[in-house]
Amino acid sequence: MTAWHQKTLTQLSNHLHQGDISSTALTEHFLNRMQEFNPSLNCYLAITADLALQQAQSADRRLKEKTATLLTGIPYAHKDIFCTQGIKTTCGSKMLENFVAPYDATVTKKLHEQGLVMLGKTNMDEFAMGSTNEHSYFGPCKNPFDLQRAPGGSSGGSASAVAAGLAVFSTGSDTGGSIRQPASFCHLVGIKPTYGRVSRYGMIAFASSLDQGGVLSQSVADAALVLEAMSGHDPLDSTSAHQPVPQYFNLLNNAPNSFKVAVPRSFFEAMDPSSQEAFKKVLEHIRSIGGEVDFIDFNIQDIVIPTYYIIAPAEASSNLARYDGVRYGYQTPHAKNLEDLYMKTRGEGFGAEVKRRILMGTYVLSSGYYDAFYQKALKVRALINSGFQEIFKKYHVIATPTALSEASLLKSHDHDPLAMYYSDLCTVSVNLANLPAISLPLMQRHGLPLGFQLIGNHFDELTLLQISHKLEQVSPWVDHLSPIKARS
Amino acid sequence: MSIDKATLEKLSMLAKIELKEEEIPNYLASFNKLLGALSQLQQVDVSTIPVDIELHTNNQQYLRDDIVTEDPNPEYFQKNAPKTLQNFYLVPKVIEGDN
Amino acid sequence: MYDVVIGLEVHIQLNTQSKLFSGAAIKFGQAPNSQACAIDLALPGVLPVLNKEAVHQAIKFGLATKATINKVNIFARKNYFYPDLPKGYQISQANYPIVSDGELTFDVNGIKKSVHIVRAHLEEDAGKSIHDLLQDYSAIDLNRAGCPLLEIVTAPEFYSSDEVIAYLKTLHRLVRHLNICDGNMQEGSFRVDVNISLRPKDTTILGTRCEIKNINSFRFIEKAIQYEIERQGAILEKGDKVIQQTRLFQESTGKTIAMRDKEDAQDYRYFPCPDLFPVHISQELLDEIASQMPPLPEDLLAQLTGHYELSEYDAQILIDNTALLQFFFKAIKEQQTPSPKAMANWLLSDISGFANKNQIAFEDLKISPADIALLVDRVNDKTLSSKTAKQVLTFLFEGQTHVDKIITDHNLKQVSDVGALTQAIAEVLEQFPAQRAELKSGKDKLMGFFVGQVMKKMRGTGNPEEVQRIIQDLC
Repeated sequence: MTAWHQKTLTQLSNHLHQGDISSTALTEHFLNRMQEFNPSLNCYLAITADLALQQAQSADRRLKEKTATLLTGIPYAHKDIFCTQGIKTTCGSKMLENFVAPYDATVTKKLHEQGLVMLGKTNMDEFAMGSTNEHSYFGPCKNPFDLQRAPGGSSGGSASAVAAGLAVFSTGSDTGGSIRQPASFCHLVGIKPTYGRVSRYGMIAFASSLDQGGVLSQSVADAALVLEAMSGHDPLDSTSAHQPVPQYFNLLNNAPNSFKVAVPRSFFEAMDPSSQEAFKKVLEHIRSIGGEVDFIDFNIQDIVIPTYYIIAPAEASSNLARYDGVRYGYQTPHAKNLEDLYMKTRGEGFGAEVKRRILMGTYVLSSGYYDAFYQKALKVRALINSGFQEIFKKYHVIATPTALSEASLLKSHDHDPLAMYYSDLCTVSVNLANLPAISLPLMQRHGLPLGFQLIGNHFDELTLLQISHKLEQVSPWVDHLSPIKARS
Repeated sequence: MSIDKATLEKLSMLAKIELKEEEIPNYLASFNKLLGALSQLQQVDVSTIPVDIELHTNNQQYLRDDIVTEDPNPEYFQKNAPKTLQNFYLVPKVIEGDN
Repeated sequence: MYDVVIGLEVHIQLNTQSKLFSGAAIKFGQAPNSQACAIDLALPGVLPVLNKEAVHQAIKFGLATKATINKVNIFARKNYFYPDLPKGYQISQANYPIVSDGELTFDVNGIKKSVHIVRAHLEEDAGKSIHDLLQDYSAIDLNRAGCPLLEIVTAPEFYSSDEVIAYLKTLHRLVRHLNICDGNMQEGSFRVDVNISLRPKDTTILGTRCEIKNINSFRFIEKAIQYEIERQGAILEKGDKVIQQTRLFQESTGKTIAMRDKEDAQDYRYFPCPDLFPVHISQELLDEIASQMPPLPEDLLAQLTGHYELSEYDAQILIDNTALLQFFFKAIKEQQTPSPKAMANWLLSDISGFANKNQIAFEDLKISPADIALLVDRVNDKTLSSKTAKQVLTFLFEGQTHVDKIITDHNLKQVSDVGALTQAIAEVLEQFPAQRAELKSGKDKLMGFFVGQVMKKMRGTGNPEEVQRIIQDLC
């Protein structure tokens, strides 16, 4: 039996178009694997088998009629943060445990227009708040490389599904690293585009000025293809950019012959010696494909976490106020009056991490503290932004590790939320500066995947993808499979 | 920098999240730990950043045409609603002035 | 002992087709939640998009009140929990409103007064809670949630309820004139919050104020102010302090009552709404809107009472009715010799009267400015008497065209020929010998009777002045 699940999107697309396999058969292949492996991984919260087979049949028709795109017929996993009409959309929370979305997110629509096949909705940290997927109401998700470990978060289920060979690619969302970091821990490509590149309409909001939808995939070409389909201006999202979408996929091989790469010293020095060695090896590869590498001073490491953990919770505290048990979602059975309805619904419906962040967000916005915290954070954010812009005056991309260590053991952060926050050091600055970034599975630590991050300038996803694609060719990674994926 | 139990309870009221008595010490501890980290921002020099920073962006709000594009069916949206009657959403009785 | 000091906040519902941030309609009185779309319901994942027309209408208001239009303005979230506020926050404007520093001049008992409009900002309306439908539950209707409002705030510069009412009436007239609000207070299109405090006569420091919210008729506003003055006065007389609070006006008792005290004052935690970008208003847009602005009521009043010599009363009615006003100007232009006073008279009595009686909107009447121009000309040149002119008008309403043709077709030309009149008069005098005798003997009242009879005989075409003169001669 062919191990279709070990093939990339572009490889499978060729097979589908050549008639080597039908989308229906391919979908069944994945559904069978999901049935076998999802119970131990818990990466899918919902398996939409009927819908998937329907979509596969339509895809097969399109393939026959030659109206298919490169994405038509490809089975994927959709993070449960994206609204899918008629299908439960839980956002990993008890609050939305039984919420059937009455409409499709724009991203959902765009992907379905391509003829993609949605296998199911993936597990995630509740309301995207978390870095290990352990804050999901529906139980933790396992890392296919080591079932004792977390896959990262908040797009943990999305990463786990692709790494386990239970989806060809998956969608994710990234507010402080939630695509890149799980991609890093699961040996995947994870790309978060520029803020505004992908519509947020229907992507359940955590922190409005930081959230962006993106892709977790097996190869750079896969990511380019999907990102291109997801991107574009949406009149339903006021923060959506009017920038035209370049042909990311077709232009992949046009990487600049020479380009300049900045490596912030402080991020490099935050790694342990063996990781620094692995990082330096990647830098060698970068030089071999035309990159000129400079170590620079960019000392934002002390301010990014506080800035992020003021702005994100503040926006979240407001965005999550709508969850009050009145129009949809969980409602407490214990309400004696309106006050009870609110207090108990939200006390019972939200998990601890979400409650913590809402309370913190409420505090930093409250009278007497707004100036010192929220207003200050806005200004520091502007400072961080201009710092990045200074770098991009001279450099094409910035290179850092995605995370400082490999996937954590499950339950290791239980007593120390702050430690969990600090693990986001390398990723949050990117969201604060609204920049695009990609994590590439180019390193290892203690035998487990570790990601290499490239950060680009605003709306310069193309350069990021081109350099990454070239890098993939000189230092390929697709052969390194998780034990589950390796099983046919 | 830290907060006390009374402040946490005020926040709980503002955010409408009930905290059980036994949960409070944990919340206070993690809250104050984080607050310590956040207070580091006090030292950052932002004198080069304009005071009215919110106004300083190239991004402009898109203006949509004033046309009616929605004809909502209340029943459809109320499939998820816990309690409704004749297409109204129901909440425990509010005494006027509770706002 | 005390002066009353009042500031006003008026919320007007803007005259758009769709809501401020969603494409749902904003018609009044629709079935519950039939105009609440996904965005209005605050479903997970929805986002606001700003209505262009609402921005334009706010700008119109700013231009009409000589205010500053803030070229970059920002929407902020006002966070609090209430069932009629689906998102748990209202999108409003805080530090950077769209309009600031305007003024409105109005007339109080013949004296002109100007009030500083501190700001006017855009915000979305909340839904409605209905508390008397069920015993244990309140019923929430979100049709109104998201409707576009402009909140207009004045400085505390009113010192009597007369001033307040005069301002409100002028403001009410202005927003209707600008076509940015229908002013329907019963439907909640024009809501007034009164901030009122008492200040001892010998100081400039303002006293503690109370806010009386959401009063929707001028009569109730007067009553509420009166009651508050008495209530606060009584407290201060006793040597006590007035508590700062929000109050509601109770229509049944004429009193204001305090809303439930909260242990903590509401902390709205305003911050810029991250789902929206700053609104940028270009000079081109301002110029375009300015060029499309109708003339302001105060300017029109001056023109109508000055140049056109209309009474202030008549002028005001025309100003308040744009269709009528436009018609008036057009018709005068078409006249051979403009007679504004007569024109206004015809428009405001017979024509408006017909429209009201038959419940037709003025705009739907089948008459054109050219028609009425000619009608009034024909009265002026005595081709028609006022009676026959009314008959012509009736035919015009039915859809018949061209005044002169109607006159000829229906034989309505006023007869002033002495011979013809004398003939008819003689016949009538013969018909009523007893009354003739009485008239001759001095009963002047009967003149009306005879003129009436002659007009009847002549089917209204007799020139009434001539008829009267001839009767007099003959008797």
